[in-house]
Amino acid sequence: MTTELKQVSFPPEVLARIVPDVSLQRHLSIGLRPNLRNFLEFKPIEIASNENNLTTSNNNIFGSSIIKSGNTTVINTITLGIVENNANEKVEDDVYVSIYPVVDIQRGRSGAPSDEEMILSQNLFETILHSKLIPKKSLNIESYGLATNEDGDIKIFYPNNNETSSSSNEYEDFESQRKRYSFVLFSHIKVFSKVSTIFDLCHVSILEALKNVKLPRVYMTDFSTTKIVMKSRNSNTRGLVGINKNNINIDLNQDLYYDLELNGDGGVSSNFGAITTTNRSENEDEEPQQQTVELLADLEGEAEEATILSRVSIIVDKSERIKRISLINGDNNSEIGLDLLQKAIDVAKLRAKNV
Amino acid sequence: MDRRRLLGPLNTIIPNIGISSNPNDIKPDTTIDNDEVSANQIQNFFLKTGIIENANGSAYLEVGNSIIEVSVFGPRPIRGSFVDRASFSVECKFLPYITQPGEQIYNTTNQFNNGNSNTNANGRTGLTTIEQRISAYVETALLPSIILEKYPKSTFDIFITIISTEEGVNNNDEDDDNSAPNEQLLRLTNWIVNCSSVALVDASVELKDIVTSGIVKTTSDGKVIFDPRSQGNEEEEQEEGSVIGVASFMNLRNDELVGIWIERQGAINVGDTEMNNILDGCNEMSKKIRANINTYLANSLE
Amino acid sequence: MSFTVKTSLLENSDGSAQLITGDIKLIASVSGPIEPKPRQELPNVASLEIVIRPAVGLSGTREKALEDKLRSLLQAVIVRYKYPRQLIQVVIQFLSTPLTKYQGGAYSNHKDEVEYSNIELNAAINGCYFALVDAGIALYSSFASVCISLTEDHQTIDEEPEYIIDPNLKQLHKSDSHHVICFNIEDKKANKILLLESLGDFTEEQLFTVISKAVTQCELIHNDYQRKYITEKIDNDYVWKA
Repeated sequence: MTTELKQVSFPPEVLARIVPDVSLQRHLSIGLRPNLRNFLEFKPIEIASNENNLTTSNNNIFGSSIIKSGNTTVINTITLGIVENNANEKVEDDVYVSIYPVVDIQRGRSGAPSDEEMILSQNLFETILHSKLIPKKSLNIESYGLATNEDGDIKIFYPNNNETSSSSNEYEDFESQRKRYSFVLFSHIKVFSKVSTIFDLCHVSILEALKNVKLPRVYMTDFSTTKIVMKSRNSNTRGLVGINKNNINIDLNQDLYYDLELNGDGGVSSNFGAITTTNRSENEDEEPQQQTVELLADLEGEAEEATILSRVSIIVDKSERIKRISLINGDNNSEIGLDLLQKAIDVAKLRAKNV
Repeated sequence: MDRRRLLGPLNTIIPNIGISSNPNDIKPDTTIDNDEVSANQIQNFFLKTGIIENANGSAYLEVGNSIIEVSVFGPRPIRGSFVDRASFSVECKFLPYITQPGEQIYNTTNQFNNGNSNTNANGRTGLTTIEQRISAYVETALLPSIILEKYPKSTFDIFITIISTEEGVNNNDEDDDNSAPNEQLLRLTNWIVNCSSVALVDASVELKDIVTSGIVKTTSDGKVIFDPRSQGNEEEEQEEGSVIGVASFMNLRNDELVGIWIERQGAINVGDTEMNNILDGCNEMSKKIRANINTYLANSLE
Repeated sequence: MSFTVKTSLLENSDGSAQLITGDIKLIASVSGPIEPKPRQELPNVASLEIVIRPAVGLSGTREKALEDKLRSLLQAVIVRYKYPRQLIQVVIQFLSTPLTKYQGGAYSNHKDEVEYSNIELNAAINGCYFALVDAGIALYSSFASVCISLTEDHQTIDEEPEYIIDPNLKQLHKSDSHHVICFNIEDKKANKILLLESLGDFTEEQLFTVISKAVTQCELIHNDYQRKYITEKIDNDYVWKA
């Protein structure tokens, strides 16, 4: 007695789950990727950095960007901290700093950042640092104002403001013993609907947000505690409660805001993967099947992420300078050799120019 | 010391958000022209479902300046021993740096008081008092609507992200205190409940009914205001005896009340009349929102 | 380029190596194949657990990023299908680095704030090789890694930039870009690039010059150090056989 083995067939999306490699090969053999893009086609990115109200409606946000690619949305907000410079340190021209990013991917879990988020944050930090984008000088606080409190009437005086001659003496005293400060940039990157690797998107979001950063003037208060109005939950009475705070304040006068000076455009980040495909000859009799290593741009989706282990990520700027390359040949059969690396760099350059 | 986040040099100071040195800087006028706000009219809102790919269901809602995003994850398997019904949790989080309504009142006791504190908000780990209050209310209101018995050994988790709120940073200017924090908090909560209900529908969770909410304010002279909006009106806000309430209902299950949150202005007791006015008003408003949601869902089926 | 290697110095692990190169000193330890925790277990291949511990303080985001890069390299060189449902644990403990002022996730506010974690990656890769061989883990091929920095002379444009093999921290500060390149080595020849991490500001032409220089260097490491060490190890391990 023989048992007949029935051929099982799966719909494409089920096949992609069970055997992602087979699914990917089937797609590639007809010249398409599972996401229906061409081999070297990138997923379009929408940037809405100028027309978002995060910066305008929140006094503590000094730069922001909203990036969309497909359903993935990245919201980036830049805030400021201040550090005291070393007393006798002179900021040299060729010293560059970075931004401190915290990536937060919406993934239906609460708690500490995942490894993925930590690795992304660290890689972004190092990339911005070494691409020499933010000169330390541009974050230097040249001078700061002094606030005086006369019977509750707070006035801020700046050293280069001539109108404040009446209190210039007071300021000079202040000037002689002043400490030097610099801004520190923090970036919070919230990612919604992550479906593929998002280093490239996060990189764009930081650059876009940095481009519209406006730095404020700061002033010191000589009164160390500030009173804030407290309203009780249960009654209508208001009271003043003193809270302990540092005495560095941000002046919200938008007329005094100035642009953050950046060195270069920071580049555009592109990623590629290499996969060996078998070209099936249409003629059945024709013998050996040809194997070629194909380069795919902007990996996306389960099948590509799981199957393609040889990858390269490249950041090139508009003047064809390379800022970062991260290459790993994780698949012994599909190697990114020098020729494919060359090809990937060429594509990345072209993309950087056209974005 | 946080080793999982890049929070900058150890000696970083977070500066206070101070005042503006420009005497001409006037806060944008948030007063709503009363002519435009006719009584009993609900503010226009924008609703969209299914925008989050890696969640089982999601909804996005914009109303005024507020932007709410809700993702539903579940049913997901739980670890451990067998339980015959699903568990349910809600976590509401504001993006860091976003002003939380009423944070000057509620969040002062903890270190997460953003805007005022000297810690980097990027490193915030837990929920603030306000986030906890909203989460608790939403959980209470939605729990009765989910048929938990259908999902043994599973869990549903709702994650709410507040991307933007009505007010910008409340700077510590002493004169600038004409916002009505309770009212804003309740308004936001009202929309969060409505948005979360739609997200549950989008996740195809088996529900007894769709929960919708309304918000109503009564003044001391007996006036009932539907969907009150921050009017920035000092006199009205300070008025002793006004009561704001949010109530959530399952309209198709005999208007079953599933949640109520009342905040009153001034030291008075909420009387029966006010209570009835609020419940009736909220019910009426919840029905209007429900009608809107029904239309949206019916259209999205086509 | 100089290596000082000492192996089998940890008694309780299957393989270990101490590597001193430049300003960096580390101990790499390999345990495996051992039984994994249930959640680590993979049905058809060995799972890898990579732990990197800094010279000072506790590990943070920086070590996580290093672990990630090292893991993707080791996944490609270890013959993982030989150890299905098993675990190979690799621990790198840095003993000293030029960046000892770095403390657990935070960076001190100092002029030398610039971080070069890639030179630690370079040392970790080379240290791993000796520890993996010591533990007798099956590898597809040998591998060696080199760090090259590149300094352009900004005054004279046409001048060839200066390439420094195995730069120290001072040279890195002056450099315009730095590159870590790991080659696999078959039959004494550097064959293909396994890993490349480049950061800074450089041209395509410079990159390919760096890669060709790295070929020579990686072959040098293999022939001068790795081969010598393996020969010694076999001699010692089979001392009674003759």
